[in-house]
Amino acid sequence: MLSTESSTAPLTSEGVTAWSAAAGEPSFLTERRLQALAQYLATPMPGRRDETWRRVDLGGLNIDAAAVRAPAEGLVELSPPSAEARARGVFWGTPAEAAKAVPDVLQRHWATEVFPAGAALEVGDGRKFRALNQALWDCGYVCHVPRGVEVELPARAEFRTRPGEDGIFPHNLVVLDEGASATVIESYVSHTAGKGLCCPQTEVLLGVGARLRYILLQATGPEVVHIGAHRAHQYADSRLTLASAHLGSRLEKSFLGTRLLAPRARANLSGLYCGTGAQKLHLDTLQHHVAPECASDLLYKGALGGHARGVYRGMIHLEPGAQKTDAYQRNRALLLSDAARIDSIPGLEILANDVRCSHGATAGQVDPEMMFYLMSRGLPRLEARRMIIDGFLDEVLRRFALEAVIAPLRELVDGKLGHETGAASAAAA
Amino acid sequence: MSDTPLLAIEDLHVKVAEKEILKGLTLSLNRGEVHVLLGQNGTGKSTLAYAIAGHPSYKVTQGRILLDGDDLLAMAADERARRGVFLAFQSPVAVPGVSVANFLRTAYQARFHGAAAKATDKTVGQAGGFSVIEFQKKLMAAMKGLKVDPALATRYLNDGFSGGEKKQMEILQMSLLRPTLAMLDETDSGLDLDKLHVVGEGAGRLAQEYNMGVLVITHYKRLLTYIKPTRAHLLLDGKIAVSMGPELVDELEEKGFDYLKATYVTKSA
Ligand SMILES: Nc1ncnc2c1ncn2[C@@H]1O[C@H](COP(=O)(O)OP(=O)(O)OP(=O)(O)O)[C@@H](O)[C@H]1O
Ligand SMILES: [Mg+2]
Repeated sequence: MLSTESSTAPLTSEGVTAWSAAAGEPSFLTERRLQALAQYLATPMPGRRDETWRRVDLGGLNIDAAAVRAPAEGLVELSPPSAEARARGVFWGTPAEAAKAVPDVLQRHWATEVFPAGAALEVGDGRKFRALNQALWDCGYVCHVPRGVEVELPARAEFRTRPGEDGIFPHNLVVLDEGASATVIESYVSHTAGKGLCCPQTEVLLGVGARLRYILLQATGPEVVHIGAHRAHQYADSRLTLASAHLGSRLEKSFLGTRLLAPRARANLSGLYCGTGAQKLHLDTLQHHVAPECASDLLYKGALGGHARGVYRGMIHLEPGAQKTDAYQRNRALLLSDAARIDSIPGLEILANDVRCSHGATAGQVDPEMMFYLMSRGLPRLEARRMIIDGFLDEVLRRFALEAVIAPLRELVDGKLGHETGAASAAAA
Repeated sequence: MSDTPLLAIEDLHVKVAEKEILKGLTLSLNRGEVHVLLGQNGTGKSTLAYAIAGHPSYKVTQGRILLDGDDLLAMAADERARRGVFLAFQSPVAVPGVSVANFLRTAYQARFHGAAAKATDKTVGQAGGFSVIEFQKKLMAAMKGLKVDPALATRYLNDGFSGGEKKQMEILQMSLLRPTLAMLDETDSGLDLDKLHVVGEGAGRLAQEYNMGVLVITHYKRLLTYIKPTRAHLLLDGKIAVSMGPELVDELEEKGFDYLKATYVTKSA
């Protein structure tokens, strides 16, 4: 590894092979990189013909210029694994460490099931970017919790975009064996301003009765393009609580979802988005019910100001076997300026008949009657407005559950919208 | 100075949704006085209260509203409130996601510690001369006094509140914000007899204790047993058609609007 610290290699199979070998990767990882690379090269850039990408303006992004890069220092910071968890067989570390400590977990699950390398790309998985991540991944984490072990302390991974135009390609894997439980907090930030590309992928596998709280925070710099895919496969009686916040980047396209593959799995999916300036946030969600008696409940809420644009695409897909499903999906947006825009595009594919299923989307402005009520109690206009916006987002913010996450998140949102409400009132005056 | 009324309304014209509702209303109210405003549904009683409180949809096209001699119309709603204007809403709006306790604390700070000493200061304890602990005590005492269910403090403001709970919440705010001018818009409707007693008595006591000027909008006498009126007005066709002693309320309750119109309005015309 050390010898490759500063090396880069071209985006060719020779380049990838050489680099992977120099990094001392097991051959199965090299093979999966090469499979993904071949697919990447054979796949066109997503364009206007592709429904899920039709509205995404990639604006001259040239990913073919991306190169294989050594896992530079400081791309990711992982919270230290607790000695106690380690003693109970929990693995938490980088993919390179995992290749040594838990090679069979990696061999079985890394780019094989959730997003299998080289397998046909599907709608809703990031297409060419999915393949690119799997060919080029340069950092990431692996979390493996063995059967019956419950980890109290959240595991944290914070990724930092590279300065300049170079991308980072984090690849992450969470495997909870039967009855295991854990909390993972995954965040993306930028320590430097300027352009960047952040292209993460996270594969989650929840065994029978496993419980995962998965918190995702996208807070990259204002000129970063962020294209990510995060998906779970859930087995019987497992429980996924996914809460994601989408605050940063110039352009985000994220795919978030779960497949409920065995009976009685349950998923609670929450998203908070907040766009200002000229930000474009594209969020695609998937609730794919394969097995009967599963439940998924999705709530996304966002506030958009300036010229920001949100595009929410939510797919509820019920296979013929998914009888007795409960699947709900709601997206609610608050528009803080006349130029802000939200498009909600629900997709329902329901092939089972004994199900309860609903979806709904609303968009509105800050209610003038609420404004008057608060102002009539002496609250200045800006404070009244902020209180209403905070109140609107509170429902989804609570779903992040951990006070250590909620408090800083609330501050990030307030900080962002503080500028927005100030600007709006200055324009109105 | 002492003969400046607390509230002076002169020739007030108010439009809402392009329709003129108030057409030259004149009214004057002093500290320590309780005026009752009567009038049939849709005559513009709430419109008057909104215009005084500064609701932007209720447009004053002519006339003046003065508070202690100062031009209220030049002030936005929040400034009027900080100057002591208070409206207990006929139908208070719900604000989901905003807890009652947080809202009340912010409003209290805005009224008594200046709008600048905002509740953004999340520190517990002293913040700009404002003590969160002291406020908490005040709030608890006020809630107890008005028999407000303590559980409401942690709920979202008016969200899912019963009709009576909303009205209690309005008077709770009045008791914390201690206005100089209190307008009670059908506060009695929606309250059961027990609550009416507690809330009515509470409002009456507050009004007296702080020498407020009070404008009570109501269709019934029942609230007025707790807040003794000193004067009564009948609103008709956008104007005060009759102003007289509180006996007007008894007459209305006994004989109805048509009698009042026939007796007083045609006589004075
Ligand atoms: N926001 C509004 N938009 C349209 N019309 C309005 C609005 N507010 C009031 N009005 C109209 O103005 C008139 C006066 O309404 P207001 O609420 O002041 O009556 P009120 O005297 O308080 O009646 P009530 O005794 O039923 O409470 C009514 O015809 C009402 O429909
Ligand atoms: Mg009314």
